Amino acid sequence: MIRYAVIRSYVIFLAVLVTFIALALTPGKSASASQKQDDMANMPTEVIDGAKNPELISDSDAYHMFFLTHSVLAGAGQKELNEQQNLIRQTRVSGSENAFVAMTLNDFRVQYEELVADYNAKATERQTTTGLGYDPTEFVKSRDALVLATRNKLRDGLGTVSLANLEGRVQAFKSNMKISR
Amino acid sequence: MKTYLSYFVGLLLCLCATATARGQIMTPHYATALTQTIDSTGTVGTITVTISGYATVAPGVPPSTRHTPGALLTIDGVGGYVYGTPVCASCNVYATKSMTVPFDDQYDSCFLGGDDPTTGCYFAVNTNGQVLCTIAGNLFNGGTNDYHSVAVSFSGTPVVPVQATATITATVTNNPVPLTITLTIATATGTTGSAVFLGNNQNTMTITKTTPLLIQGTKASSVPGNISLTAKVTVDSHVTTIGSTSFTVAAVTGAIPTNFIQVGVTQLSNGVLQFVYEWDSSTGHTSDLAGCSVGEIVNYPVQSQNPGFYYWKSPPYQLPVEFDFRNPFTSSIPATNVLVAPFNHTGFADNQNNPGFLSPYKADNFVASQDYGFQCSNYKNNTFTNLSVPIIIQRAVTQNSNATWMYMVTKSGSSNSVNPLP
Repeated sequence: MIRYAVIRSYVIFLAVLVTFIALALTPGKSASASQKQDDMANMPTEVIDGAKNPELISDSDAYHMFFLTHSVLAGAGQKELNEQQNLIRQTRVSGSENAFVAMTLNDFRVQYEELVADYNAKATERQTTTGLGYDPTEFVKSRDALVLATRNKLRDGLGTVSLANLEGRVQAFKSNMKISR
Repeated sequence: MKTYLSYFVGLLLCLCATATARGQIMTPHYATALTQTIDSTGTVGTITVTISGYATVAPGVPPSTRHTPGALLTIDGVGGYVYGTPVCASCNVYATKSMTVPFDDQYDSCFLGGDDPTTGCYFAVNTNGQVLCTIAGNLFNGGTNDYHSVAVSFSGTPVVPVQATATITATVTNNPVPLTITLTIATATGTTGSAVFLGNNQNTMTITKTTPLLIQGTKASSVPGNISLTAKVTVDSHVTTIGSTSFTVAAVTGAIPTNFIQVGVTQLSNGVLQFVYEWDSSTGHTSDLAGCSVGEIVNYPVQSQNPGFYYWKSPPYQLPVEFDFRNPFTSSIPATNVLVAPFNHTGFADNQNNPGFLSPYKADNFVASQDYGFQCSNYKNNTFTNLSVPIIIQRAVTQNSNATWMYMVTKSGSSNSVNPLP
């Protein structure tokens, strides 16, 4: 009788487990409803449009993309260097500080490319050998630290007016961005 | 019994892993950015679009998975995508594309803000940044701003209560100069009906950028929709109408939806195009809309052999039994529905779906007409009242020059595609 009770408790446990699994894998009501030609929901996929919600784009993301788009790769040709000058001129830093900004941003780019190359190599190896994704946490930390260091370098090297103009330009740059979250 | 337990625990773990794989296995962290410059001579403009970022990846991704970033840039239809190097699923991607335009009077009103929308400002820049995954399709679409001539569109406010106010949002696009836009309320037809802008209590006002307009109904309309709201710009004595809408001034008891407006559009996977809409309440409090719903009526081509349904041509489409083929198709949602962040406002997301595809593919092209509207128990006995003008939804399957096939859905100036079809 006792043994029967134990077996019965296992059976009940297994029944509960199977029921739990079945419930966990059963789609919710909305998912099980027939798909519509046009369906309404309140869960839009989130792509933040900086033109509409610049406040939702972080300074870190904005500076990252600003530095990336306003810098050139090592060994860039005259055409790319000229275009960089055109971009930096829009920031309205003083003429004598243009070269400093260009040098600082290109220094960022060199280090950034090294970071990306290192991360991509590790991520590729991990995916190829194990089929697993690579944790980007350290890469993102390093990238954001590089962005912050570059901002600090600009802050230390630019005059008050030039720095304010550049920072204002970065804030305005958010309206030309879209990011996924 | 332990054997059985191990089996079930293993089964549980296996099923949970499968559920993860069926769900979102990649989370995109991508960004696109647009830059534009004028060269030092002031004669050449350069536009550049850049995409960069990475995806976080759940276990179980095939080792051969690759992500390819693409940067789209077209000017007046010329140009296209530049694709970056295909990399692993977790890898950081990068692609950029630049194009130049002559910077002169023909272009300056679009590019940095010229002074003549009637002769310039008619070159269109289209940009996008996307990441194509070999197993999950398109992970991200980040189109940046388009540049066209200055224009004004108005949100849907079909009824302005008499002796009360309602909001109509005037959305101004591409007005970098900025030009002064004159808005005018007039009685277009019928004998009576009037409204003014709250604030100056006049029937005209000027704006330069997107502005919510508070409209006060002063006299009830003798004819539905007889009050016009028009936007015009004047350049060199040349007056151009750049947008218009109409509404009714009527007595309203309680609340009705107003200020119906598209606030987002997103290209989802499998060619699904998602629009997000919001609305307000005529009382200023959306909680007052408890007696109302906001919905749609979509009319598809009539098939005399299938009254009440529109069965998509098969092939190229599948006809799954679970797909809703009703014609006209109707659906609605409580008018108090609140969107999730970042919207956090009364509204809904509307997906333009497809039933899937079936080979051998054949060409097909059809349009549906969509009306958004509201129904309130306190207004016209729950009659469907339009919040928008009819919107055309076009879906087409066409053959590419390389013999593959593509599907495209287009609505309100936005589109999404599956190219090539599997």
